[in-house]
Amino acid sequence: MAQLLIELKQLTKRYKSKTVLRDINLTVEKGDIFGLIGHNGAGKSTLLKLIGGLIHPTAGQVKLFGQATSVHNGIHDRMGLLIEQAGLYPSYTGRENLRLLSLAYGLRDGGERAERLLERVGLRDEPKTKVKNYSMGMKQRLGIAMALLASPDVLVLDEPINGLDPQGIADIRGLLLELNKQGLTLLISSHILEELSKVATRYAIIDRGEIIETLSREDLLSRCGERIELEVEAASAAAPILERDLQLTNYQVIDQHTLYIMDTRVKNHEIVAALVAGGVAVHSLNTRKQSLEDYFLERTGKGEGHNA
Amino acid sequence: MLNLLRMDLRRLVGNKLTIALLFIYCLFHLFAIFMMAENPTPPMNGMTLVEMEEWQFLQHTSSIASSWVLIYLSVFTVYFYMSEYQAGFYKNYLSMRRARIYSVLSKLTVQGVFTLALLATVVLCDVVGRYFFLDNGTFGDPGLFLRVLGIQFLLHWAFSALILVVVIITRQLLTGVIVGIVCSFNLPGMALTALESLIGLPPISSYFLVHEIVNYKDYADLGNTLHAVLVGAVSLLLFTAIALYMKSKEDLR
Repeated sequence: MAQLLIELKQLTKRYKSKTVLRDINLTVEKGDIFGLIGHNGAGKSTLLKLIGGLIHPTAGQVKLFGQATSVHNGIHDRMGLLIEQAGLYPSYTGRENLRLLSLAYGLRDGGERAERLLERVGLRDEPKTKVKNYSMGMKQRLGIAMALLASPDVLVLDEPINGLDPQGIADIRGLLLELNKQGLTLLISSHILEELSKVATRYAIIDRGEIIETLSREDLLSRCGERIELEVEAASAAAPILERDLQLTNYQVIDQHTLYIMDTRVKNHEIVAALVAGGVAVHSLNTRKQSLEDYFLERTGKGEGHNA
Repeated sequence: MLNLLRMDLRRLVGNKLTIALLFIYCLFHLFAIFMMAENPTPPMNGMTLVEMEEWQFLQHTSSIASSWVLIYLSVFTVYFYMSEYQAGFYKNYLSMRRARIYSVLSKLTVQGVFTLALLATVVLCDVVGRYFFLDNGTFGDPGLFLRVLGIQFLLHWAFSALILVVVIITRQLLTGVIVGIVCSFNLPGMALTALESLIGLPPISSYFLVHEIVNYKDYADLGNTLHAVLVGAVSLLLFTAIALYMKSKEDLR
């Protein structure tokens, strides 16, 4: 069984009368690149702050590396955080920011590590540029370097590609994949599913403070591929006919009238003919290909507004 | 704790504002002594400015409201805390064990170092200013001077802890500075003193931190010394405890 590095149980956060997160249950396994998808204001940053120990839960529990957390117990030591904007002193250079943080961590080889990380994030050629003169992308890259300084086991990144140009996005993506290959577990939030799908191995969709779905990369791709949406009189009667007469196994029963058939090699008229012959009335049949973004919007109930 | 302190001390030393504050204070203080020499006031506590020894002069300048030392301390405390808070740098290390507690203790230690540096600047300027403008190069009793310096250090450090509590709670730069300025005029102390005389309250204002700082007292007297140490130590402990509590309960941005 995979080792659980992050485990959230019934996690709730309220600010005065406003509930920002409600009964969140979530697990992140060792080696995951876990993508947290949600619209702006869905509660992604709040959830990451709770995991990172920056804020306190109103109810529920955060377990990291198998231990329940409190803000003082030091389990968070093994996490690197980049939540919202990178925490950087604008009047210092990138190197000075890293060296200052290495003092806080008590790293004896802080200078060396800083140089290595600057090299890794592509900022070594900016030795005298102050952070206030950095572009958004450079700040994000330095933020990742800061989060990596203490060699964490888990890296928590909140919207790491925000404000980056296409080259910057590709660079960050390459870096994250490389870090994951070296054994680092990543928890990344984003509102851009398309981009997240290029790196993440598991996903959770968060909407209005609630996790509405968790799924693997395979689940997501199968749901977003081409499919036939079939509306029949009785899905329970249709399913055995599809299996017996058309040898279809890759389908899902959505409700008592609806089935999704993922195997689109079968022709529509063959399906209709088989069902009618089996005595099942067909109300409608549509072939549909859904983009990742459409899927996300559909799940969060914002698809119609988006299409309009 | 020591690692965070090293980081904060690096910021303190590498910060141009620290040097600038001390330098500007130095100029203002020398100018103030020059003006005192040009416009002599009637004798206070039976002696003129020229006759005062350093420990008395230090007491005298501290007791002039508004206290510039308190204003400078407020500005420094607010700036040092808020610059980290606004930059969000704390997010990088707050995941460490007991980081919230150690961070507050580290900030308080740095404030103590700055308080000491500020008082050392005051003494240095006093010595130079008195020598040049008041023709008084004598230092006086070193034991008594160290006692007064120690008391003033404790009281001023406790005051910086009060300002730290204010900025931790309000998270606002301006509020911290305004509270510092209001306190430097001893307005709360004066209001309480007025209430005491109006409605016959017991003299609780004498236990107020800022009231203790801006009132000239003869610290050659052991009773006054003990009173000041008690007020300073209790205030420092109280404000430290509040700062630690508030920080550990704080939801950070």
